[in-house]
Amino acid sequence: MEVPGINFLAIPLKEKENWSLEIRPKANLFDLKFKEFWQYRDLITLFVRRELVPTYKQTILGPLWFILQPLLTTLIYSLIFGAIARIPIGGMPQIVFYLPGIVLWNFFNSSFLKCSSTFISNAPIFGKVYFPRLVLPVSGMLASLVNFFIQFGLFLVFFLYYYLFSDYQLHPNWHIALLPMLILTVAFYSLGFGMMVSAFTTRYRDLTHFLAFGTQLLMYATPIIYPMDIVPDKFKWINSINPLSPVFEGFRQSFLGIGQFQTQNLVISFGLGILIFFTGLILFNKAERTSIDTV
Amino acid sequence: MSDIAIKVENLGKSYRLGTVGTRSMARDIMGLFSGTQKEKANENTIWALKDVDFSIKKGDAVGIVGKNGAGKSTLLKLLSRTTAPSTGSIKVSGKISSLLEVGTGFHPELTGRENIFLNGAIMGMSNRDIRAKFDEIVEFSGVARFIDTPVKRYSSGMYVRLAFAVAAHLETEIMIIDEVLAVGDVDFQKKCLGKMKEVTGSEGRTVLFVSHNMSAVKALCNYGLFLEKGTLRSTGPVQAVTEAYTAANKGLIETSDLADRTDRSGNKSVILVDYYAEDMAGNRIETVLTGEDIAFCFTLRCGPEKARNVDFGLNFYDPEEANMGVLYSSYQAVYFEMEPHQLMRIKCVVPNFPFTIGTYKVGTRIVVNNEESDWLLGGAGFISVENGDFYGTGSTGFTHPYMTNFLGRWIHEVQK
Repeated sequence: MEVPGINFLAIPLKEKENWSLEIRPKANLFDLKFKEFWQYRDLITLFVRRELVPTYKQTILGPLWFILQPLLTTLIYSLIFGAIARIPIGGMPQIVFYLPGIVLWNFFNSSFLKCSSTFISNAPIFGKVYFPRLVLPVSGMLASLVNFFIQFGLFLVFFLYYYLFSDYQLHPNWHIALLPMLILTVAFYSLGFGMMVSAFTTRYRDLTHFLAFGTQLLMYATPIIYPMDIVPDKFKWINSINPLSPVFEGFRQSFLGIGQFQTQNLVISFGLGILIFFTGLILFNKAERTSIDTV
Repeated sequence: MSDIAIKVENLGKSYRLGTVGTRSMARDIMGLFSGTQKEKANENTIWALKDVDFSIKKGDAVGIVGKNGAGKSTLLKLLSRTTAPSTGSIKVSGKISSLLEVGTGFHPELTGRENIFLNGAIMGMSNRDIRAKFDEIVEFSGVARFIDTPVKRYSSGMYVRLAFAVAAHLETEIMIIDEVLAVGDVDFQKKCLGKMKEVTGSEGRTVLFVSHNMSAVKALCNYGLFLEKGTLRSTGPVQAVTEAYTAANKGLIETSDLADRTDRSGNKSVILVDYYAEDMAGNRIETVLTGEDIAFCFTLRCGPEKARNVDFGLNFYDPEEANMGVLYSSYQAVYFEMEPHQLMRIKCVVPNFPFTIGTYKVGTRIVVNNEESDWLLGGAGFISVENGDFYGTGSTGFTHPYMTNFLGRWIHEVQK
């Protein structure tokens, strides 16, 4: 039935506003902008390159520095903790015992430190141009990861040598299949903690002074220079509340077959890592909006 | 779809004054619980930008003018998303790229080639886009021979040229440009201006351009925004806006960052705080033609004591620091007197400017009561010269750079 006088079509449809970008004072806390991040993936590759290439430019030994550093650290640890302090290492060759922990720790430490200084060391460039700030921590992590794989290759060489040509009892086992999960867990923690620290340091610099001390403390609370089973009972809680313990213990256990690794601990650690990562990401995204006003 | 590129509504940005310390942390924590974010915005905050509304049509070239501290840079920062606004909103249709300072993100250890890719990616280009534009960028920059050399070996001129070349070839709908033309030599500046005209004209992109140089704004833009003390004072066709800006600044003596320079000697009883050059119509200029009349304008600031017998001298250096000529006001028996803390602008009109093509450094020295008061060791600024009609006959004469033209009275006799 027609109703006279009313013509619905005559009411103009409000033109739908179609903006490609809206900038407002407050952003949705849970808008993590992954799509935008993905559009800048080329920048990530370039930043990774920028991190890695200058490390060995204008040096005589060049890329050799990537493997010399963990070798020298291993030498020092072997001397101090092995030869002097005589920490028992389960009858393993020293280099094969220390190297995996050092290599994995290097990955965590360098990724964490790069990430935690994001806003402070990049303030000049952040003040001039916009790109998703998340690109920087992620490329710092990936550069550390590349480094890790090189150093991990070094470990494999030593490992295979001792496995094939010596009488040491090395027991590589199915836990090697967990390697990707171990690496991911370390990546999540380094990014998560790193982003939290970087978000906090945009306003308060206190944490930067604490960092060197804090990472060192964390290193000793993680089974890197000692196997978990020699820890006295009254200190065992330290290892068990440290979410990185099962990761490092698992890493060594999968190749050497020594240690107290339990898969469920790793799963818990992995889950917590994801949680830390997203918490860090939310804080980081909140901080990035006004970081240049306070840094 | 509407033809608006940028729509700004009720935009504001406040900054909290003072230092960050334990007290600000206490305040942050209090703020978390009391939830009185708005009430806090009183005594210790300043508004760098407040209640700004405007919209910009697609394809417009917009000049943003205003004095130092008027909020131009804040506006650009908000538009380029380097910081978030405190109030209001900005709606954008199209991709924005900002050219706030050329060479952002250049890494000194990487080669020119690597830096082109890195810089382009920072500005939001994909590797494929950059590869497609690569030859054009290198060609425009003129550093093809050094493209595989680390940029730390580049001269500053090459560095800037390469950086501008990358930025100028960005494929974005909206470009934000902040005074980048103040770099490079005269030829390259011309090239940049040409490129910017091309961008706005034939390519139809939207450009926002911030500058103190009214003639550049007028040449490049069709629309203007005039900011004053954080608010929008006027908008409209560029001619009207630049006129409003010039009128608002008449009789106002500005100081520039010259005042903060430390490369100076003298007892500082009177110091130089600003320098610029003007044509006879009162427009600021950076380039003069040989034979044109030009006014060199200097702002002096008196110290806490009255100064008598102020003698002002200026001179010109060629690029090899050879002195091309000196003029003190005392040579013409002119002295100035200044009251304590007074600002004074001295204009020295030089008729029939004698030097040939080149970029000359302008040096200054102030002498009070025969004692050196202020000598800027690095010079006060520059003046570029193009060959012109010095003789008034249409002949440019001897066009070698860094020469002095002079007139003669010609008399001849013939032997009987």
